[in-house]
Amino acid sequence: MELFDNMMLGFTTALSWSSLLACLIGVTLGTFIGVLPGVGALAGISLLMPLTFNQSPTDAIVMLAGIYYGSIYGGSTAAILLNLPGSVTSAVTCFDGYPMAQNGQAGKALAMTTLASFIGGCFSIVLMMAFAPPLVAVAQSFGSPEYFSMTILGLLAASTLSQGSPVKGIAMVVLGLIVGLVGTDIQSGVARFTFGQRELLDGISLVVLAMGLFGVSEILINFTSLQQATSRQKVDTSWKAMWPTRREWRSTSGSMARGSVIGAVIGILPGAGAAISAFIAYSVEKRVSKTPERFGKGAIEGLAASETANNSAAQAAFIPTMSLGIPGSATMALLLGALLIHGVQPGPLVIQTNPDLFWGLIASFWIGNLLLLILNLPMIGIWVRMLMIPYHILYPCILFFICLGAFSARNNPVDIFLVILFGLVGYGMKLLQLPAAPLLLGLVLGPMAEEHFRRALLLSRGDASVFVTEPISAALLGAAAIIVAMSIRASLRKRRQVKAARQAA
Amino acid sequence: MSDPTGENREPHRVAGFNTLELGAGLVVLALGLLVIVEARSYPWGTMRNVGPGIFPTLLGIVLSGLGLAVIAEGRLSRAIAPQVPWRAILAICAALASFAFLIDRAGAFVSIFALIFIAGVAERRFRPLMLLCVALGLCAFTAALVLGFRGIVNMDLLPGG
Repeated sequence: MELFDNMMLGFTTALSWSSLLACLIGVTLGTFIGVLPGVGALAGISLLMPLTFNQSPTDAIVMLAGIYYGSIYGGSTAAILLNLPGSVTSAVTCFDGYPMAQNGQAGKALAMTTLASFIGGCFSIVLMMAFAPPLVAVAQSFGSPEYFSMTILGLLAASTLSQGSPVKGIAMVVLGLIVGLVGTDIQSGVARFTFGQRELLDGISLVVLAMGLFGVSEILINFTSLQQATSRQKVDTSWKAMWPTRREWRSTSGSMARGSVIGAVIGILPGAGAAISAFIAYSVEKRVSKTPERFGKGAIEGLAASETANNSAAQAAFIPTMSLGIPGSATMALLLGALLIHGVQPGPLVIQTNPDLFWGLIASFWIGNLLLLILNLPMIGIWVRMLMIPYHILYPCILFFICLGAFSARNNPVDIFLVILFGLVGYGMKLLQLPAAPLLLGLVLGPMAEEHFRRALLLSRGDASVFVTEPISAALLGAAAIIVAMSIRASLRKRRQVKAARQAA
Repeated sequence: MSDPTGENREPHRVAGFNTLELGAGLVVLALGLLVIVEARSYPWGTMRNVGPGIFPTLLGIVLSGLGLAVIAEGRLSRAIAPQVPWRAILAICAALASFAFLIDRAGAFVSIFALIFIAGVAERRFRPLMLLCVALGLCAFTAALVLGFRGIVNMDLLPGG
């Protein structure tokens, strides 16, 4: 049993003291970040990334991954108690979670989301154990043209499937690719886009950029739009009030099964991600249900389905990220960036060159999900109390952690000034409704895309048609072309509707 | 100012174009052109041995095209600029800048107090007592961090330390 040996290796790694501690810190901080409205997983991970620079690559990735899926567990708490999603992924949880809390079933809703999250997470971990190795085997037969085409497909899918204008999404991915080229070109030694600044020769630091774009600008945005809400609600956290009854188990088991599958399928695809999977799982559940009128008024099935789906999707997102090196979302791109900073080249070779990292990460998912079960069931009272922290205490603290993180990365105060600059850029982008997440995606994948582009042309002796004559590469580019065509169509249709509405008015 | 979110305002237009979307498109277009111009100074290489100039030039062309597409797409958009919280933006940037300026000169404690109190100006209601508590708490936290993880977190706590 190869899988068994691999998992043994994984657990020996993940059960070492340092990894266990990293996992515990990761999921605890993740839950904390998830609980707080106004602090997203993306901002949280960029803030805490400098913390991991002194750890081993395995511990670093275990911790950052823990922050990510921990935040998705935690996000439901604010959704249920405040009707305010702690993170975007739990927007759907509000629909039925908040009505349940108003009916005095807050404890039950909180317990149900935790259990559903656990089941959804576990489903996708099993999937990852089963499917990552064969996927890696396929990817290892890829040459440079295939890689280049796959990167293009991943980037286009990730930037067009998210909300907002697909054209702006693609524009920001391209800008990200360009930003990724800043610095000394490895092959020729030419300094590109440095404009004479020595500071820029090493490229633009991912940490500093992410902290500015997602940390500082998020605070500025919150000053424009945050609904000030804190919870004073008493929650009955006794075991009896929280644990689902046998009837509830029976009515939700089907929802959780469907939620797991929907989440996993959507999670593997680039771009869609946890938030959308929760929406789809919820609407499927509403359609399947015999009593759809209960949805939105505290239907536990809807809650269970959306929470299983978002966690299943969150874990499944690691499958393409870890086995192909193609991140489907900005959060995953940050994780890959962390690997790069630690000198691990992401891609299908990771499973061979760093098997302890690959399988250790999977094993840590099991441990992390178990820890989250403990953190979120018996200790839920603590998180509920966290919601009482008002934002005017929170934002100075976040600013401090931004300073601490940016400064300690290189002990250079210049980095804090750069964070301010990127924060203002991020806020400006928000005003112009240009999405920041695709930019990060492009930044991480930029150097890799160019390298494969060059190598493919070198191996084909300068024949640029190699990208369409190699069958796999052609298929990947074809899929990319379909995505672009579809978003152009959607954009044109929207335009026609606006025009028609104008003429009618 | 009875409509802070601006839902019901009519978007501003320049020559029929939504100003906000036009601005976004022009920024993207300008960046694309800048990239093309800058990339012209890098060696081009050959198709077989791609130099450092080709890939950025391609990206610059694509980006410029997308800039035009953003302008075209946003022509009829109803996007409206939200009100910009200038006070908060200035206060928060000043707070971060003061920390960056003071950390090597006056140590962590002074920097934290500067950061927290300047950041507090961002809110309409200034809460000195609460800010004091936050600052003291963060000072204690930093002291514990620096003393506990010597070598990992390197910061002077006191001025001239």
